[in-house]
Amino acid sequence: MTSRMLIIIRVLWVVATAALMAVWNVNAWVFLLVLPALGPLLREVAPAPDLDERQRLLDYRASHYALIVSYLVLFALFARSWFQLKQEPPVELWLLIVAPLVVRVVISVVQGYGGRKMALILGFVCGSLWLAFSTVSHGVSPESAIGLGLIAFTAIGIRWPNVGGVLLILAALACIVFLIPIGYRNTGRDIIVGAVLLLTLPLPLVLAGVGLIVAALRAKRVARDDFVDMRPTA
Amino acid sequence: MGLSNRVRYFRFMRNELSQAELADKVSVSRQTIVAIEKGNYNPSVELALRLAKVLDTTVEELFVIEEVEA
Repeated sequence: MTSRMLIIIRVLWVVATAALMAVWNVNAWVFLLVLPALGPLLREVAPAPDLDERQRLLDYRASHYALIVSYLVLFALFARSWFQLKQEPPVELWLLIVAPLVVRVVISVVQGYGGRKMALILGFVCGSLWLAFSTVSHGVSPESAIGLGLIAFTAIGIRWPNVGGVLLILAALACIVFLIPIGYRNTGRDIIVGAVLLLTLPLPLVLAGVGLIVAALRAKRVARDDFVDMRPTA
Repeated sequence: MGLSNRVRYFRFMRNELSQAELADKVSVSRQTIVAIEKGNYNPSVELALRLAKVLDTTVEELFVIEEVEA
């Protein structure tokens, strides 16, 4: 995807948005908000042959700084909501925090530490957070057992990754079937609440479970020894 | 440890090869050559090898790791 092609696509996007605004709804301008993501997204799918390695690095760095700025803005919005307006921040803000955070943590940990470590970190962090929040809000209660269960499943995964992985995936399915619908119903079937709940608990657990199982499968594979003929025999 | 380079020196030795000409020969932008010469950007192994080939030298001659005493 060359820079020229990217410019053409962006111009076409703007023209299409203007057409939508003219013939359908003036609020169709919202499609322009996709523009900043369009470039990095297309570059990710089709590498840029006209950019050299340093320019690509700068491109990535720009996205990194954009993430930092986004989180600082979110911090300001949360602070304004709690301290100035004295009200709970809208649930959309939680989605804005959670969605990029999950993507960032998962990609960063998988690439930096591998699937197994990612699984253990996600499992222990999710279990500990659940335990902490449930204990703070309800004291020691049956809900705390869920957090303890997640920690236990992850601990099992250290010794028996397949078993731990399956247990974590089953825990995620149980969340989707039993817990998410309760939260979803209690908040007036708000789709944003559903998305936040889905991203915060079942998704990390599924990723942790899959991470453990895939790591176990990979560990079973015996690496090819290219130097077997050159090794001295005893 | 810091990485210093002698790209400017080898450009001079190759009949004052300009930054733009060098950039063109190794398929990068002129700004990238500027950044490498200033030490603001460390090139990849691939780019370092291409630079060394165009400048008719070796990577070890072109880039030197400087030991910084604590």
